[in-house]
Amino acid sequence: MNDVAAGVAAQEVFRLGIFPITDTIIMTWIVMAILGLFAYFATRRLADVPAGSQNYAELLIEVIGGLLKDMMGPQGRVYLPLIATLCLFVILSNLLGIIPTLKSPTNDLNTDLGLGFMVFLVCQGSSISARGLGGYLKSFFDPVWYVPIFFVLNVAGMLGNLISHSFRLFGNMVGGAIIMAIIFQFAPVMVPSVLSLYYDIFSGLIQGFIFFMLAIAYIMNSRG
Amino acid sequence: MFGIDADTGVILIKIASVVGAGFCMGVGAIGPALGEGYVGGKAMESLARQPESEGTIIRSMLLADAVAESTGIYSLVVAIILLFANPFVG
Repeated sequence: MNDVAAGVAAQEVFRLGIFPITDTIIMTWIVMAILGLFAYFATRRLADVPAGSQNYAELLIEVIGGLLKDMMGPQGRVYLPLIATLCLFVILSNLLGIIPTLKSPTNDLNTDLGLGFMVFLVCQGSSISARGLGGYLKSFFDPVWYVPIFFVLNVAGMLGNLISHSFRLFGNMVGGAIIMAIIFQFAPVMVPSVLSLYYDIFSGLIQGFIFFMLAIAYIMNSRG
Repeated sequence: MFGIDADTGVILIKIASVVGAGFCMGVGAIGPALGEGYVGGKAMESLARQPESEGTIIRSMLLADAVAESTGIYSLVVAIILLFANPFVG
């Protein structure tokens, strides 16, 4: 049982001063490098009639932008860079686990909490910018200010969003990874390839989709 | 306590953790299963009524499934902690 946990959980590789560098951080750097190189080569020679990788970049941005516009309307255009980056980063991280020696960075709760906290901060910022500082503070006391239990409920709901958003991605990815690791132990050939279609590819794509759709929904909610 | 030495105590805690993890996952999966089945059934109904709005229905269904799934994910996290990172065994 312990070697299953060791294969899924983050392992410390080396230390940078006081900061431990785990293998999931190195996997995050790999994902960042892939996305950065793709963005560089896709936009190096921009043309009106796209050629090569510019086609793929435009397709991705159009699909994600279409989803964003369907949910938030034209005001959602501001959030396109954030949402598209979240979508590409999470989906690519989830799919990285297919390659046997590599690990998904999303198997580490620290990555998921970081992403969830980023969405949480953006929600607070867009709430302030949409309602003003007074409206933002007043939103903690909705629907009526003189019943103090509503303040507790509002704060708990806000923190609950953050926790459920990041734990959903973590739980789904780590659960799939543990089941795959156990199957690899008792049936190392043939069987894992079939199950990998579900646990790695399908579940990874669906969870990435759900993660950025929920981010859009939370931001939309916070704008009131 | 109760005349049990330390080794027996640790073994008892391990047994209780494994049984607890099994119960946690089994009972915790009932609610999300009911909820997701209900959402899926309703989505099928509205899909049969309005086949032209398939994209919107499937998207909303996935979002509602994800929200209904949270409690199941919480029990999964608790079960994983009990099995792999048990805080009661030093």
